[in-house]
Amino acid sequence: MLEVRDLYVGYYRDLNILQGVNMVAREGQLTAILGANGVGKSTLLKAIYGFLKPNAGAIYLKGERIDGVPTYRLIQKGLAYIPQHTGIFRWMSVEENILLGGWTFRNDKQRLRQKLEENYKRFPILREKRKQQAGELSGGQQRMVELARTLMTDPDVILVDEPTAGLAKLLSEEVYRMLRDLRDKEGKTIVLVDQEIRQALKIADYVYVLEVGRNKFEGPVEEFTDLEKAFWAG
Amino acid sequence: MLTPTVWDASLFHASPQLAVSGEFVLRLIIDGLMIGIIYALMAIGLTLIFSVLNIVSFAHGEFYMLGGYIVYFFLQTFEALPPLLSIVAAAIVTFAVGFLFERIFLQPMARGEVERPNEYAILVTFGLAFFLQFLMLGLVGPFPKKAHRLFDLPQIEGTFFRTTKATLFLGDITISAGRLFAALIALLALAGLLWFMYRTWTGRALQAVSQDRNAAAVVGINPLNMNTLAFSMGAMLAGLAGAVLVTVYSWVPWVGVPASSKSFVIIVLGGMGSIPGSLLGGLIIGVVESLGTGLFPDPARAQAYRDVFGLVIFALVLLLRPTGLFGRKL
Amino acid sequence: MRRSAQLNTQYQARYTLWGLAALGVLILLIFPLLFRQQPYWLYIASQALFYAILASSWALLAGYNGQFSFAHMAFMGLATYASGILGRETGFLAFDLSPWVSIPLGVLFTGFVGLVIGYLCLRLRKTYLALFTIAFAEITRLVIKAEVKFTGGPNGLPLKPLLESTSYVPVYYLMVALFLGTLLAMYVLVRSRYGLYFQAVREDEDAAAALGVNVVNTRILAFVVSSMIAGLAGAVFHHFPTVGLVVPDEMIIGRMSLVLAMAIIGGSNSLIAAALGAIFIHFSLEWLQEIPLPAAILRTLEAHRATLESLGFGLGENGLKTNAWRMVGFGMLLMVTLRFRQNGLIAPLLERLSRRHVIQEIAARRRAREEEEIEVSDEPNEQVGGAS
Ligand SMILES: Nc1ncnc2c1ncn2[C@@H]1O[C@H](COP(=O)(O)OP(=O)(O)O)[C@@H](O)[C@H]1O
Ligand SMILES: [Mg+2]
Repeated sequence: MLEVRDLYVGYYRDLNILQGVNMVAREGQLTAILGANGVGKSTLLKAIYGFLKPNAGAIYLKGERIDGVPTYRLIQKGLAYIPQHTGIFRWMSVEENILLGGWTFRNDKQRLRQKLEENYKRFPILREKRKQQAGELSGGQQRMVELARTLMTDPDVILVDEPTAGLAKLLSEEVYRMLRDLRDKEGKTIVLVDQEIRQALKIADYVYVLEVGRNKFEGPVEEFTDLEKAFWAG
Repeated sequence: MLTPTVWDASLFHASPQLAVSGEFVLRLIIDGLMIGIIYALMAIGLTLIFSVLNIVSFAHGEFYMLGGYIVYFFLQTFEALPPLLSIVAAAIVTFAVGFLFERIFLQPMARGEVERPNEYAILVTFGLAFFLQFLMLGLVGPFPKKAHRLFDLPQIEGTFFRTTKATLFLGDITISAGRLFAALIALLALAGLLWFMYRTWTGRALQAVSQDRNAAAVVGINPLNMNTLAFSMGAMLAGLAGAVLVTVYSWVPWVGVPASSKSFVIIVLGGMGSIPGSLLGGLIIGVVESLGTGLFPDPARAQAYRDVFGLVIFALVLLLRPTGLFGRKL
Repeated sequence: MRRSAQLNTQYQARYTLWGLAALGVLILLIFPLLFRQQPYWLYIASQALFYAILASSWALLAGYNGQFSFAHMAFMGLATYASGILGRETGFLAFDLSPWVSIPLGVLFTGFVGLVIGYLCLRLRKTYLALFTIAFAEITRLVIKAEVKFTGGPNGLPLKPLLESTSYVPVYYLMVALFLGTLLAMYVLVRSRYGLYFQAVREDEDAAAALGVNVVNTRILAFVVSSMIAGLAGAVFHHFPTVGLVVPDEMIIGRMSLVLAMAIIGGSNSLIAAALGAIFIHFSLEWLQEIPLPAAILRTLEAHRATLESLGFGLGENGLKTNAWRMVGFGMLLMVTLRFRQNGLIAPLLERLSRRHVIQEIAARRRAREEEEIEVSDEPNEQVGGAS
């Protein structure tokens, strides 16, 4: 579904943070990308989503090359992204935020209404707060707004970067349950970048571990039963 | 060598002096509010540009100047057409010039093709100002032009409320028809703009880009297109402000200079990037200027100091509270 | 072996550069002999040098230190007015000083104002600094214009002659001396430790501070020095018997734009390029005022005089008058230079002559080669799948 081949990318022209990373996210699976802080997990997602221009390598979505496609076109291709640091529109209402998720089909009122309704069902708290400024919500609720906004378009593949960082335990379990539901009930392909190794392994199908700038190892989640071994071996 | 064309904003922006009285102060305030709306319109244009493109356009005043000249020449050339069309023409032309400039000179910056983008933005918009000023000087010459007022007032006879063709009387307070129409048209444009910004998809997209550029791209909004739109609209708003004021003030190729410094004052007052802030800032500057000029003890110097008041406030706000009085984005 | 060959070219280039500099000075010195019959061009030349000082001192502030001040002409005017007021015989603060005393005092005063403004601006970055300095420049100009009793108002302030003779020649040589002197002083400054600090602060203030550069002092120093040089140029130039008057309109933003355009088109990263830009533009503007044309063409144009005039052109005795259009051309040139040649038009030429690019190219090539080596020696992803 989504494939990254031998990717070299960085923030400055002559300094590659990622040096030959490979990754495949299979359809309907939840692929977890793990690794210590600063190894370049977020950088990988940013590169996939067109915020960074690869110096070498290729990225494929459903067999089509997407490196070089500008960010704003990717949502129409069925690829969505929830960045590590929340990107909501702080001074707009919750409802406006969610509706903007439907920017690509903004003239289809019917569909907008239906999708909005779905999201309010998913996150009842957001219906209560729909008139409030998004910037005034708590961190967890802002995450929900972002998730709801992302789900407006029915993306096939969702990239999620540390969705539970800074959330209370209860809330973060909620988020993981939701990610699992998205895969199990709606058949979405999910790429999850996380520091919460235990939680991520609970729901993942396939796991990649990165070390500074490159793949360390990978395998189906079953091979990661012994955490210690998985992380200290190799 | 370059003979400096003697020019002074105050020369053209004169209003008659009266003795200080309650009515006089009230008149000054009304005058200030009416002009303030127009300042606000122009400043909101700059705000739009600043919050979407993250640059200050130093050519903002030149779009104002351009808008005024277009109305002037439209009225001269097409006497038979409805005069309101001249305003539409000014809006279209300034929008188009803004569009072209953004595409050719600013877009490369947004794409990251220019080194030191901050400095580039300052200098290239300054270059545009320089270019447009002398272009108009070449085309129309240095002599002041003034458009006649677009409409006559309907004749109404009353004791408290009455009108002549050119003046509206409210008791002892007089309001000139030119200013009145200018303010009304500006108010209309402002209402249209607010509707556009807060009630249409495109307006929300502009807000979205200004509040979080990356998030806007993630939902599928093309930020580069929004840049172009914001700059063109900003230019158009300045053009509209000029279009309505050319019937009130005399026009020379340099009218844009004090006008743009006023916009700078207002957006800094209003918190760099807030539409409501700019609106309020515009009204404040309009009134302060009007009162300051009207009540200044030495009338001979009052006109000359008119532009100084705003600038002093500006310098103080920049130094003491660079975030402005109200802080939010669009 | 290769390296020594390159060093050789570098030394040769250095000689070329010194040679060119000597040639430039020589041209400056013999210019009056070449234009003996045309004092007008001598006057233009001294004006050009006045602008050259302004442009190069602006380049010191903006190009080297990254402070985009639009108050440069205001400082020029402040020193001139201060000197003029101190030299008056009657009126407030009039001490009837000789220009040789009042000019240094005026320049000191400007340095003091520059110190205050530079200090106030410390917290302001790029755009905000530009806004603030525009406001300051406008306030200065409007106040000078309004305070008629003190400054002479819009009609200007007459200034005492600095020299007895009304010939253009001594005026010219004095301007040459001032130009070379200020250029040398600024050159010494940018070649010193402070020059490096200036540039470090421009590139990244925080990084510079972290490396121990005193950002506050550096920024203020740049501000004060460049304002004083602008002030000095202004005061001396306006005290010439051939000028003798300063008007507030010389401080309009439009005039500031011209100085800015000169520095940018020349190349604001180089003092000498900015100065050459000013000289080049000033002479071009002068020449373009009335482009000489053969009589035959003039006669044909005469038939279209009305059309030409309605377009803002004019017909003179010997040629076509371009009036405002020459400025339109330079406005366009300014924007195009900014867009496509950010280092200016003259600076790259100088660079080419000095062969500095050779060093940069070598560095770039070396880097490219090293990168290749890294890529070859690295076998990426050895460990992929290692765990499974
Ligand atoms: N905006 C940036 N500019 C420059 N370097 C960055 C930027 N963001 C991250 N980096 C660098 O890239 C490396 C990888 O960062 P990141 O991808 O955020 O790591 P992770 O998400 O795995 O914790 C780090 O060394 C970090 O310092
Ligand atoms: Mg990260």
